[in-house]
Amino acid sequence: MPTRRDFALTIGAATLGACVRTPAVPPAPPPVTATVPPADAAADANGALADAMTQLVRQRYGAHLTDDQIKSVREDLVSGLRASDRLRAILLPNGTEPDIVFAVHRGGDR
Amino acid sequence: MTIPDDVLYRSVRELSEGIRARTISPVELAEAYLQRLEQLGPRLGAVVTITRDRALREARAAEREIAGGRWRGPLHGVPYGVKDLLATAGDPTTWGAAPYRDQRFDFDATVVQRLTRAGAVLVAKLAMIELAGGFGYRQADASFTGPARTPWNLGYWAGGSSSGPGAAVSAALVPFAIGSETWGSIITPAAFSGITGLRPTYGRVSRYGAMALSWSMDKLGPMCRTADDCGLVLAAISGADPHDPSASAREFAYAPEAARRRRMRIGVLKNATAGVQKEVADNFDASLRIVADFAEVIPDVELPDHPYATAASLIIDAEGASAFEDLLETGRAKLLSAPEDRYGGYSGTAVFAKDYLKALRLRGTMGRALDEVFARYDAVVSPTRGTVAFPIGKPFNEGWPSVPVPPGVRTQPLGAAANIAGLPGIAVPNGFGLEQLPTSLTFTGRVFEETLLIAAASEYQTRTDWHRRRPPIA
Repeated sequence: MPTRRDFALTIGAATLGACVRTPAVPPAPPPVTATVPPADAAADANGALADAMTQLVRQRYGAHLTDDQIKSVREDLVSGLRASDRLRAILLPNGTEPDIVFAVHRGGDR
Repeated sequence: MTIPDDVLYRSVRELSEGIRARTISPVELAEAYLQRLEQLGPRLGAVVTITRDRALREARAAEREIAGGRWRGPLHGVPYGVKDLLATAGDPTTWGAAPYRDQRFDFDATVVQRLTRAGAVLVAKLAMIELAGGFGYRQADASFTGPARTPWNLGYWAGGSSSGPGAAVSAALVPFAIGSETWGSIITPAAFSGITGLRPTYGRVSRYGAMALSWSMDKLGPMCRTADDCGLVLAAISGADPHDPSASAREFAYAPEAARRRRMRIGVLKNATAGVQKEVADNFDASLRIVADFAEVIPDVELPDHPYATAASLIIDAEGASAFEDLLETGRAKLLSAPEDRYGGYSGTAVFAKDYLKALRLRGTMGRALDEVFARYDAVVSPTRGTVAFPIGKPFNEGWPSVPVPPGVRTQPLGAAANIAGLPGIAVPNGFGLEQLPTSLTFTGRVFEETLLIAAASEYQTRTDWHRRRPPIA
């Protein structure tokens, strides 16, 4: 059964594999690709991590979920970890900020 | 006087001309659409609430004003519907989800306020996928109102998550509607229902009073019969709003004539038809020949290589888990209609903060890289979807077994990149495919260049009549 994120890639948008330019246009400053562990090793590590995270979800929300649903949540978590691996493989310079802007608040003056 | 169906299928601009010339009565027009909503709405699964009292009150006011010589503009006296994630004072605002079916607000969303100010007449709140699809639905039956059906073939889905707006505009239950898109939710129902849908630039339209799924990716936009109508509606609803800091003050002045003064440059997404249904590819190729009539067509536009879909998915998961924390913490998610939505939000509670922030850091990089590409063109075209609408009653990924769509094949070619970078896009019908279901073409552009996109789509529609076709339900 496809997981939620696999499904999102299928229906929601997909990987753009056929139309993206390779190598990437270097943005300023350019991202750096980190050394990625072999796929099998990453899968093992993600499996263990997904187990731990599933336990966390079970602890917090187990009262609301059946065992089958928790299994499905674990599949989603594995997919999510795969997605995170892809992002972690791109290293950004320290100065690259999140694309959000915090605005300070000042109420009316006395 | 009974208003014939021919009139109800007119564009907003055409209706407006009749209203202004007083050959069409706003009250009679509202009555006619209300009757159609009541008769056909249930068959299509398109409607949540018909706002009859408000509609007639607003229509009478419009009629009085116009008779008195005060014409507010092209939406004055024109009926419309909104996706049921927009707050309207006193009516249920259900977000398509059983846990919220009795929810009411005491104010109108900014978009509704602006349409009211423009003299438009709210006739209905329209069906949607529960929570705008935020918990990962995999089939059409993911709303407490049931699946919405495309009027072109009732065995097939209207698209989502703005399902009701798609079906209702297509079947002339309303002349235009407001939908929302986080990732594909205006463009997809526009394609599957055979109408024109505009996803504005992120920040072009205030989100105040709209259900939040992903604050940094949600957009509201018009779903209409024509591209020109999308321009008229966007002009009324766009602009800064003190209630929504993301809403831009950058002016949208709809002036399609100005954009048409020179020959346009339109790029074609590289390998745009790889892996799509044959009819989708054929119709896209035919569309390109028409586009070449009014634009220089530049093939093989490549996008910079970034993990758009991965980052977008992670952002929506994390923001959605926070936005719907009440459902997850209380366990009321179990009341949702689609079985997969009852647990689908929980994985988002375990997204690492560092990973979410990484996606947001990459997002700026992606936006700059995409802007470099899109700055070279007035628009980039691609098929809106790789397939026609999915059949109702099957998971989406089993919908077209003869045309497998495995993960990685592009069913919505520019969706992830455009949505994570907040780029505008407009989908227009461009023919029919399997089961006589509509196919669609999308023009995607640089941020805040909606006028160019609308101009390109309008040029296409002046040379075709796909947007004038009527579904057999009529």
